[in-house]
Amino acid sequence: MQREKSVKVKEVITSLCKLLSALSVESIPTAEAFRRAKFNRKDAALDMWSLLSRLLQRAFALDCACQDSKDQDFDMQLLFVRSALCYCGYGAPWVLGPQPPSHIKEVGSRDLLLAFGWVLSTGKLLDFLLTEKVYQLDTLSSGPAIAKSVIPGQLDIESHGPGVDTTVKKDQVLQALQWQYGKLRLHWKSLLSAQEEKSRFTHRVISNISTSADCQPHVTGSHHSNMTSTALDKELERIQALNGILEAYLDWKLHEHLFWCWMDSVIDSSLTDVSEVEPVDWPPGERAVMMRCPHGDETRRAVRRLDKMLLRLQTELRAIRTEQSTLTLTSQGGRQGASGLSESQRMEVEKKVSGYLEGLRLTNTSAITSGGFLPCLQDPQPTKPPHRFHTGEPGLAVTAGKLQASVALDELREREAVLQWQLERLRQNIREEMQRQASTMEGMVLIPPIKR
Amino acid sequence: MSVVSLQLGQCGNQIGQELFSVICDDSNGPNRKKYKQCSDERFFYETSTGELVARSVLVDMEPKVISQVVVNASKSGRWTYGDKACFSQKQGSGNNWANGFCVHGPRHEEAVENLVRREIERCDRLAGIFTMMSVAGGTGSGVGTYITQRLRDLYPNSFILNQVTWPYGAGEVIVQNYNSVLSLSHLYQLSDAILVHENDTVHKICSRLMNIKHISISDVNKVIAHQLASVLQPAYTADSPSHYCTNPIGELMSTLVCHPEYKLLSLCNIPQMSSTSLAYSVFHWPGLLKHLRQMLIASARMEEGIDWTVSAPSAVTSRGESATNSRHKNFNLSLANLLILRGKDVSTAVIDGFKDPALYVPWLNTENSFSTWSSPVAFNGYEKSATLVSNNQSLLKPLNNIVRKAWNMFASRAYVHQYTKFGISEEDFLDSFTALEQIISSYTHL
Repeated sequence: MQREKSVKVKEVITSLCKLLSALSVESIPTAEAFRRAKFNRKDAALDMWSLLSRLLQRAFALDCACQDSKDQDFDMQLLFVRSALCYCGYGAPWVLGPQPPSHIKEVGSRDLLLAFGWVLSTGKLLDFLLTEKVYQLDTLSSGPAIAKSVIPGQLDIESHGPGVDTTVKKDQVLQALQWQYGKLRLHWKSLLSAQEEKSRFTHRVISNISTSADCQPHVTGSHHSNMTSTALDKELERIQALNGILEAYLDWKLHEHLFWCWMDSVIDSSLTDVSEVEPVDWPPGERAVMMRCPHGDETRRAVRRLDKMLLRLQTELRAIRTEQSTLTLTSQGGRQGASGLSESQRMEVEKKVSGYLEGLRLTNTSAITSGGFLPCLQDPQPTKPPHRFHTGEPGLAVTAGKLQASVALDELREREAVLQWQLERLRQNIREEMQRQASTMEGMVLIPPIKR
Repeated sequence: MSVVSLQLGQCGNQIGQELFSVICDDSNGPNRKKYKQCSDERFFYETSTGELVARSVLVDMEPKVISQVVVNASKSGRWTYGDKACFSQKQGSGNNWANGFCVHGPRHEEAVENLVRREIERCDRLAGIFTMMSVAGGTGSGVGTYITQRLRDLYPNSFILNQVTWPYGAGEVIVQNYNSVLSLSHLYQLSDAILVHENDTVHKICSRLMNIKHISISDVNKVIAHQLASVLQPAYTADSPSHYCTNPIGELMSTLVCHPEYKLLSLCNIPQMSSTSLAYSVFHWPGLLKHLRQMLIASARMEEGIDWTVSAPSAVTSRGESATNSRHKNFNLSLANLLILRGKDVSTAVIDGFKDPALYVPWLNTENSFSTWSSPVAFNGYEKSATLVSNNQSLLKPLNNIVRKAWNMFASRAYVHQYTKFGISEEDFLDSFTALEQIISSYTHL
């Protein structure tokens, strides 16, 4: 079982390496290097470094003038990698921490592997590399699109056609620009049809050459066919390269989830080795990397601020309400108007409202507790909480369809309490109703059941 | 290099047949071997027996017109329509755009698409799809608009040039304005360029210039076909000065309709006269071009009755007057013009009059606004002929009339129930009106 698993893992990593090499990423480490990195071996560190730095350079090539890593000294490389990872939102202590590693060798290969996993998990890196490569190879790729940058949160400069301008007063430069853009599009359409014609003719030529090549190997004929064949060969190579990329990508997509399972195991092995104290306000079941993300920090701060604001508003509201009620009580003397409620009645109302809200909240937050759910064993490691890498934003605590048993139990207990309270209240209401009815009827005495 | 044409409705089919006749006659004139080769490749394909078959698909909801058109075509002996290139049904569309667009169109879309696809696949290279329809009826406008929509989805990278015929102002069909408004608003989004012919104008050409006493529909169609052929026949363009252009529709569009808001094109062709007077006339390029320029400025459509008082604003304005004020109030501002000269000594023609920047919008410089095509081959019996395809304001007035009349009818909801019963709601009407108002506004504020 273990042997099969490790073989599978090797296949998966090999497919990832094939995809990256098809996308012209240089110096890709072997699957063996990845495995050694998992166990934080020293010899894998250099390989992982070069992979990480090359990937990040490609990713940020549009945005910063990065020098070739071969000439850079290692300090510059370290600084670049750290700043790039920080920008991507990766918050490992060796990236963000107050004592950054002074030398490249101080960063373990496992940390590098985790960083690589983080960058890959955003999903944008692969897309970016793919579009870049396809744009290079495909001579008439769709429209004047600018390759999207990999930096999260950056606005995509998409090419959209000129829309209908409804303002009467129009900018003349804009008009001229729209005209030129339209002209470009029309030229492009013409080129596309020319391209199709060319391919149709080359197909005819090729089929004629291949049929006549067997019967008449003419000297002039072969020369001519050589001329045409060099252009065709180039075309063929390009198409083969595109094909290779497509196959590698599909292969990777098939095995991707296994890769992330394996990355989970890497994280688990890093967790068992981690000796530093985790921060106290770390909620359990947080996103897998177990290191704080600067973006996450920001959102947490924002949430805390909102909480405080809400609390302040609530107390103010309560204060106003008590003021109002005392005012009305004192101003209207003994008259119990609709606005004035006694203390106990208000408590009653509040409890009712909170009960309803609780009920609503519980029914809406977790479909698992409200609907039925199937208990299942956690996989692959039963001791750690299951978590998956998503291509969504980091910081989400809810995972796809799985909930830990203890959390589920707590929710269910809360729900039970609320429902019990509601049930009790309903019973009380019914009892009062019955007593009222009984008292109105003459000659009828109601004997309530003995309370148990 | 090949144009696939789509003839829709009664008007479209008749015009199409006349167009192919004119093209065939023109190509078979004297001293034009290469011209004929290019033109044949563009519009016809050869069968194994050496017969020329038009690259055309005929669509109508009635069988009568198509059968007549096919018979007329084979009568010429030089070309025919394809055997399986026709699509017709038994019942018509009743001059109802909604019937054509919502009922007949979807019902028969697959059959028509297959026909068009067969024609397109037969071409080595598709220069573009050329549709002919009238906007007043039901089939041409309704089914035509629907088919254009489908073709746009199926061939997003191909050029679609719609030739539309606007009806007589005095009205052949009572709901023609509704049909016109609905078709034009839809077509504007779908096609790359809309080439407009007005029945009124062509009728006047027939009566005044050609001296035809009893004008029949076929006379009108012959004039329209003549004008269209003068645009579509081979010519030398700026991009291909030494051999006939292989991308006529693409080049036409990239010189005239680059801006997505301005797609209406008008056609002016001179000289136009009856064949009897043709023998006695001599033409000179300077005279022709002068007339053509004044026709452009004064929005005249024919050579007679040109308003010579209209002039372009001078480049130097006195006392700080703005250019718009000094412009004559009937002056027709152009966005872009394409001048096609065909005939003898075409290289001697002086076209600088058209390069005057005062004729064009200020935000486009002259090399973008004006282009010329030429061909040394005399066209259709005329020793010299000049055609101007223009993207300008001259169609504003007739368009305004159509929209105004349609709106007056719509305000009282006259005949609207005929449309709503097929699925065109009042909102659709309002959307169409809005779209056309937008077009009118864009052209007015050029």
